[in-house]
Amino acid sequence: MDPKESEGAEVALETALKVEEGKEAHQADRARTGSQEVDWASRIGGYTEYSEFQKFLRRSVQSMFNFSNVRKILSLVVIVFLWHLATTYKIPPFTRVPTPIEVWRDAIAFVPTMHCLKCVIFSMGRIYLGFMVACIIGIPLGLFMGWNRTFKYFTFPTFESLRPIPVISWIPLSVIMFPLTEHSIVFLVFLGAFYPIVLNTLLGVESIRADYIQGALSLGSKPRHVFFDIILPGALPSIFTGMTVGMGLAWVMVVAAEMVAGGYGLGYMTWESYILIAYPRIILGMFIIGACGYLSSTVIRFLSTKAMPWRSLF
Amino acid sequence: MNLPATNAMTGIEPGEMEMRGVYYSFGEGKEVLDNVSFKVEKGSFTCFCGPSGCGKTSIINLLAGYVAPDMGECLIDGAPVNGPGADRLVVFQETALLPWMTLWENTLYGPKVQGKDLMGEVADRAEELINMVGLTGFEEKYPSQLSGGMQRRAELIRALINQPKVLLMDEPFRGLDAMTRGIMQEYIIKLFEQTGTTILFVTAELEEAIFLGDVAYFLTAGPATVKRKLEIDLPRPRMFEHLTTSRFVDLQREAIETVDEEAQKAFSAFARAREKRAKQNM
Repeated sequence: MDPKESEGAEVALETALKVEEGKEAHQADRARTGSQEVDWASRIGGYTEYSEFQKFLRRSVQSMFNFSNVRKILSLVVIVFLWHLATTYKIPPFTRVPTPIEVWRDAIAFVPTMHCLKCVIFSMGRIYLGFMVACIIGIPLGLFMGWNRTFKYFTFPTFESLRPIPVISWIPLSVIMFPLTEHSIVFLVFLGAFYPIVLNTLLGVESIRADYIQGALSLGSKPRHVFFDIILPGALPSIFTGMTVGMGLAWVMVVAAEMVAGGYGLGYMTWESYILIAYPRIILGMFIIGACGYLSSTVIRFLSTKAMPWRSLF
Repeated sequence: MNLPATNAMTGIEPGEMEMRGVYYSFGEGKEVLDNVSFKVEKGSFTCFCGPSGCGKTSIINLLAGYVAPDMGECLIDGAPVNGPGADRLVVFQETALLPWMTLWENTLYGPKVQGKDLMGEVADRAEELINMVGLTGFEEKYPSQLSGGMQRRAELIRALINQPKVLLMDEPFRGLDAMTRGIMQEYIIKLFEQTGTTILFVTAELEEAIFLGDVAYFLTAGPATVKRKLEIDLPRPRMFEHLTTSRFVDLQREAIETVDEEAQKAFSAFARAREKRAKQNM
């Protein structure tokens, strides 16, 4: 390894440790590095951000399965044991369901392969694209709808009349609309995430206390100040709620669309396993989808703590 | 009273406010103010006292320009009030600090949106004010990290940094415990005596009005009119020792007598209404 790179990694590692030690240590680190640039770099890029996210993920998983608490892990053990009993003794409707051991063996064989990675990358990529577009269009749309009454009157009725249509029922139409499978899947992911994002953003704007705006106006705020200093930050908590819900629906859509429209991906892989009578892989596919979904929503929660420092102070 | 035209440190130039024969009602003809007239002198601390729900907040809203009177006029320095402006700032009952901004950003929000240079003079003034209310060292904290009393003080300086001619305070210490309230009273006295701004202070507590103000107006139970103007001749700077002087007790007795009459009236009106309802139900 070249010396410069190893030094960089060392600094990053040190910074990561200090972040864990708390704010004081972080300030000390800032004083040590002495320049604002280095501080920013360690905050937004490189190894530190990655490891900070890893810690966040570890904490959130730990809070879900607290292995130090026997009662919490017991329910998990019981479920797997019941699954094992039901499948071993072929109690209907579990006659053709594979046993936990079969699934575990298949996991060991399949998860490290290139094929599995490819499936994950395809699904994740579609989620990423569709979700990004949903945020880029949905958040400003929701903000403007909440901000400007006239704009809301123009857009909200259309929006509300399209919303009750289950997004799944868009699948055939989107296959007709887009010549490429890839495009129609991304479009469906976009649709799934779009509605909750717009709706929550709108609710967020409407729930902002009137005296924040009144106070700002009497201080001499222009409309753009009200928008960027009050409406946007005031709606952020709801925007992130919308993004979390939207991410859930995005996964529903990507799996459904891949099962129907095909092409790589976790949904396609799971469906294909059914066709090929590789039953353990069906359950494995379900687990991998669940894990990926969990990872995606953790990313959003992580971003929300970064974007709203005033919300996580205690 | 001998007043300095402009305060050297904060650059605040006190203004005067006046209401002339104001009638105001909201909703379905519910009369709130019934021919209210008064004048708040330049650089004075004027308190408004009255039973709850009598229309004290309406006076603030009218002077701030959030609402317009049905009849009569509101004047600031002789000019009629049309709409809100940074020369008359309101400190609300509940904190209106922006939760997503630190104390420093909140303090400088007014100058920022007015497009002022945030370095140099404005920053010096902010530091001075923050120091004056004992919040030095908390500049980088968010409102949720401050106690209730600290939030109210932050609110005060957020208004004062804009050098308002008049500070309109709508029961700003409501909901604070007795001890915090005492501390806040001390700070507001200090701020008033050091900055020389005009303060219009609405409160339901008689003792507070007498302790803080130069003049106290007592309002009748709704629809409100000015029942009595009480000149408070306690010496300045005000100190807690004044609370036990015989002059304070005399003023307090006068105030209680004035208000008691109104409370009785409000109470008997309530009792009459209840009797009437009871009869209708029989």
